[in-house]
Amino acid sequence: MATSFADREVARFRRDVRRWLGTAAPRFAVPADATEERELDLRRAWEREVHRAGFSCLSWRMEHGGRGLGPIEEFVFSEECAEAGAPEGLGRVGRLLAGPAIFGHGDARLRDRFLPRIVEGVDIWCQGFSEPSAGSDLAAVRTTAQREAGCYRVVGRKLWTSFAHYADLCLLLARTSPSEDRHDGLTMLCLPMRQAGVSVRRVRQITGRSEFAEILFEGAEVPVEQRIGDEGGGWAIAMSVLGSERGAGFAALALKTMGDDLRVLRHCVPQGELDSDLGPGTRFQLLRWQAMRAIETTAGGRDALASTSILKLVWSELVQEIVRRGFESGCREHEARWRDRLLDARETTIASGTSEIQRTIIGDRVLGLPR
Amino acid sequence: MKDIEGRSAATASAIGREAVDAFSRLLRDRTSSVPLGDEYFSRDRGPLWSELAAAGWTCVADGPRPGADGDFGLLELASLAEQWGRTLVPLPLVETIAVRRWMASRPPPDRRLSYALVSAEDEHLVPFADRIDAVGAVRDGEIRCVQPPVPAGWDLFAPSMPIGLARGPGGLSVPARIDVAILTTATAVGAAASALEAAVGYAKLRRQFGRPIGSFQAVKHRLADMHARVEMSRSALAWACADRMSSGRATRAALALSLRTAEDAVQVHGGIAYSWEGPAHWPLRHVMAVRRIVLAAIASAL
Repeated sequence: MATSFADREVARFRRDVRRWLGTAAPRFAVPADATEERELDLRRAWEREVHRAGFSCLSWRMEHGGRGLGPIEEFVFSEECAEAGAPEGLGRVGRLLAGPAIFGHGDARLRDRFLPRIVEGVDIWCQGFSEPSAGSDLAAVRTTAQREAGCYRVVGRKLWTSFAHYADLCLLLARTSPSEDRHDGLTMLCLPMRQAGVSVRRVRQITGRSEFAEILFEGAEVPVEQRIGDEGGGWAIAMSVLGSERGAGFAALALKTMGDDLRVLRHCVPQGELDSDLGPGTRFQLLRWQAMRAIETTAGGRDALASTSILKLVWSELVQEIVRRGFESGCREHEARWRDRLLDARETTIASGTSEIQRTIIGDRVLGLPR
Repeated sequence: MKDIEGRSAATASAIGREAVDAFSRLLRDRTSSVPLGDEYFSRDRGPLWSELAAAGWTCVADGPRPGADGDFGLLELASLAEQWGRTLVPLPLVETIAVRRWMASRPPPDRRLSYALVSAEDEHLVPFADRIDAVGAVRDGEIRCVQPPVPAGWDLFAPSMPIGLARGPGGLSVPARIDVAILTTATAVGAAASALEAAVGYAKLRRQFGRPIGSFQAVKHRLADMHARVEMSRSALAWACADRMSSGRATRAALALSLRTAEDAVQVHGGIAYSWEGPAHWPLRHVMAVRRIVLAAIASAL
């Protein structure tokens, strides 16, 4: 596992990835006119191809089915995929959130049962955290999981859930007991999505597309063995999961989208404008180096809170600035794209912790300001 | 993203980090007794210079040959320069380090060195011109110590970096000018970081409406943005060190971020910062003065 981007093994790894992508990525490229089913098929197939080539879950330990590499290799892989125009798999929630929650907090049985299927790209996961009345205030979760003999019976509603309509499993945060402290009665469960008692309703977004959904639980069952950690211990797991959702792994994904936007934007505005002192092209580079600094710090086992805490805040706002600039450029050729992106990008500063929440976290936890 | 070989590190080496920690502890110990203000800038810093020279801090960039890394690479030197910038002590430490890095024959460690940079007005900018022994200048194809030019005027805007304005011989090589730009920018990043630290300290203590002002979200979020800018300016330094061709863009970005942070530090301190005795305008002045040097350094280099 590399601890610096300057390590020789990183260059070797990059060369291997690049060689493989050169032949693999074009075969899975999603055509612009692909139907949704075709796109899903390609993305699902890509996930398995990544596994076949040995590049799935690079930073997971070998005993968990990973490659035992580190965040630097993950970042390099993601960068090279972006460069090669590879599709994004469907396994993001499993690889970045559910997997780490399971190997970090679950027992051996749970690890054996679910981790290999995430690594192989078999199971698709979705994340059941947010609810209509639990957005920024996540501890307000109301969905209940009542213990009955060998299982939990789940009743409630989750909202704004990506991948919900084709997910096999849901990483579910639910209330197992009403308690004085709202944070105490929450439990993390692996809920099978394909069962009576689970219904998924697509939610139409401001773009007009329906990529995420509302999930309704009407007595859905979760076997007790599919609980992650202790009953009542869900809050701490949720916090560690959210930490990684806001960290460098997702920053790498965001850099990919942003890189695509910038490439188009270069056709729409004068070059000098993007590369001025704090122009979007310059800030994209700063963000890349910020991610690399955070990743090296993490890979070296040092405290990375100061450097990772700002990533989500900065990339999300930069994405919006880039697409706004594209829209305002008045470029006729890309007008439809920028209209769509401007609406679509509203999501970045809202999902997985709004910018307001991120700033409060930085103020409280990094700067130690009074609450 | 095209290159495969020769990727650079994004963070300082372990040895570099240890040195930076030791350096930062030393500086805190030697500079914290007097608060920022006229007395701070007019103190006799001779003893501190002797101590720094004796401990080898003036020679950290001396490598096996001109421009080659010794114990520290450019990224480690930038971290040291950032720590130095936090102190705002008016001594030519960063100038000495940058010039020595490109010298073939090395003067004694206690020599105070600077350089003469040609500005757009065809004037030479000589930081710390009143307190140096020599300037480094290209003579016979390499950088040597020459007699410092006698300034015809002064830019005394920032007491942390008085700049002499001279005409006459000077001249640094392009690679040395890039180092000057990067390391001087690092002092501005340090100044902005110290401005943030002071603003955070103040926001914890200062009470209005019966609460510390740092508990108000409007203030807290401004401080969070300042933190983000300080972090991004450090990333700009890492970028500049790794990719010298982009160092002009990267240093300008770092300076723009640092300027906004130093401005915001004045805002967080409120009325007290608008008075001369207030603590917040010194780092702001430093960032503003550094811009003049850095723009002159990169204008002709990149």
